[in-house]
Amino acid sequence: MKFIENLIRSIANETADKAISRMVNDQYTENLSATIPVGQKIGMANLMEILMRSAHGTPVPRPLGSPIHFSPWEKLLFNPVHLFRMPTPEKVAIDTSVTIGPRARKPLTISIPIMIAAMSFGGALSKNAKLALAKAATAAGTATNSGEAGLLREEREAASLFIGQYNRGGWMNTPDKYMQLDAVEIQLGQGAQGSASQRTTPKNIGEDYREVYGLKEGEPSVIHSRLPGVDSPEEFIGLVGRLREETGVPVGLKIAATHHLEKELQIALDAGVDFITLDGAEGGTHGGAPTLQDDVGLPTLFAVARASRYLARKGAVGQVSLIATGGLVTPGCMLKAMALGADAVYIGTAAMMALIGDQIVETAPFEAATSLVVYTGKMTSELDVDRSARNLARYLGACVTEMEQVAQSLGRTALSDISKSDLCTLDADIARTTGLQWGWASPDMQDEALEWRTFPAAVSPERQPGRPTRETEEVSVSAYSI
Amino acid sequence: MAEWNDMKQTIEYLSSEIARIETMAGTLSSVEHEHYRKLTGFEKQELVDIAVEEQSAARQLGTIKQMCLNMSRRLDGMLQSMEPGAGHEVH
Repeated sequence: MKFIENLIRSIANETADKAISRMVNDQYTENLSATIPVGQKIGMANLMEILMRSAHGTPVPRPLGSPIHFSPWEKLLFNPVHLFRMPTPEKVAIDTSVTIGPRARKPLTISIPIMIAAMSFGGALSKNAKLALAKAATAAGTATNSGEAGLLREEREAASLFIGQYNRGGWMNTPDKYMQLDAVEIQLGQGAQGSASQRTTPKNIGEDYREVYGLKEGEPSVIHSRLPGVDSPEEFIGLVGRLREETGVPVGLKIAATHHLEKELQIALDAGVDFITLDGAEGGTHGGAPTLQDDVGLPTLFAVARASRYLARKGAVGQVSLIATGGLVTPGCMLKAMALGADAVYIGTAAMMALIGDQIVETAPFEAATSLVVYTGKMTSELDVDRSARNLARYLGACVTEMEQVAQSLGRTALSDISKSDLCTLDADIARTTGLQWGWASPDMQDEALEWRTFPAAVSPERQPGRPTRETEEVSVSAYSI
Repeated sequence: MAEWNDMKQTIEYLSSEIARIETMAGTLSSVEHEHYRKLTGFEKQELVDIAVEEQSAARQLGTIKQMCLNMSRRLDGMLQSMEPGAGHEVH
């Protein structure tokens, strides 16, 4: 054994010596180490995607969404209390339940404010993964979501609360399917794809997939950019009314967050939706074009803050539930989204990672962990459904416990009671746009301090004598680093 | 009129029973919560797993309480609409 170890060390040493010598002596242009500055210049992920595009000639189906950190959640902090308001005694249980669509004839009440995001069977995940998600959601007393798929009977049976997507592929859009749902989410877009169309080629469609989607052999599955039958706002309003009347369950709208947010929300309110799901630009997917992921949409933080303000202005708070999703990977982010106005959150990527949990060792080091859960993965049969469900249920429990700890420190008795007044921000621009208080200044100094941070004199010296009001400010501090 | 009274009494019965369920769920939720607290004091993984289940049960009982409250509100609304003068009397 010792001999083999020495032999391996000797070979490794020799190889490393030769590689280093070549890197030192070769011209930079002919040198392997040239990839280091090139990689730094364009980024390793971009470099890999350039190579993939050049090899395949098609958009690269990048899994799990954009790696760009769009929402500055770390710039928001909760405000603990000690005396001015007392912390919640530890004997007092924190209420974690949420009712989605309180106006619906049959509202949906979940035990924790975290739900499992839309990830479709076939289009994204294997049947085993979907079953594990449904079982975990049931154990935690929350809901799981079908994603853009047909009705997978086993998933429906395993999930005590099941939200189904009335989707642009049309696979859930018949009464025999949507009447079996606990809530209907009309899917018009998602954070990682905008409202772009998607297509799964027949080679990636197995028999079970065809059965659930009602596809013929050799037929691709296509998600259209528009929902079939909805070519105008009026048709959408009609659809919502019909589904609400027919099902009695909460009927909601899911869209990719966008700068046109308020216009979209107004149509949703006109339609009388029971809930609105906003998927921020950070939203994940099984595989989507990098350009749609990195360059399209609005970050979750700003989308939630704007939507919450709009719903408040329209008197819809408490009537229309707001669900936030997209890039919410820590309990802190989830709770901050709720404090900004979301009633509940969906998690996708974090749920998948938690579900795989300790089974990651089955794939390492030669396969990606996702090969255990994606429909086309090489190791989907290796996923232990019950173990996965247990992992995810534990994760959900731990996340909510951490949220409860924050609630205790804020002196709150329900997660839904946590609001913007429990947050401050370290960023002056976020303070101005979201209405959060700026942590750099005391509450009584907010207006003055935020005005001081605008530096109008730097662009227009003639205005120096009179400080601008918040309404007249033109240039914010973000353009000038202090 | 007799049918109307029957329905009113049935709704009153449901409302009162739901109020009892709400109270019981609240009490049981506190008990489960306390179990969770005690069980997490042990090192053994099996006990911690049970604690996690107790905690989930506590939350779900809390949800039952919330659901009862929602249902009570709806039933109260129905009862109010059945009161004389509410415009739904059967003559």
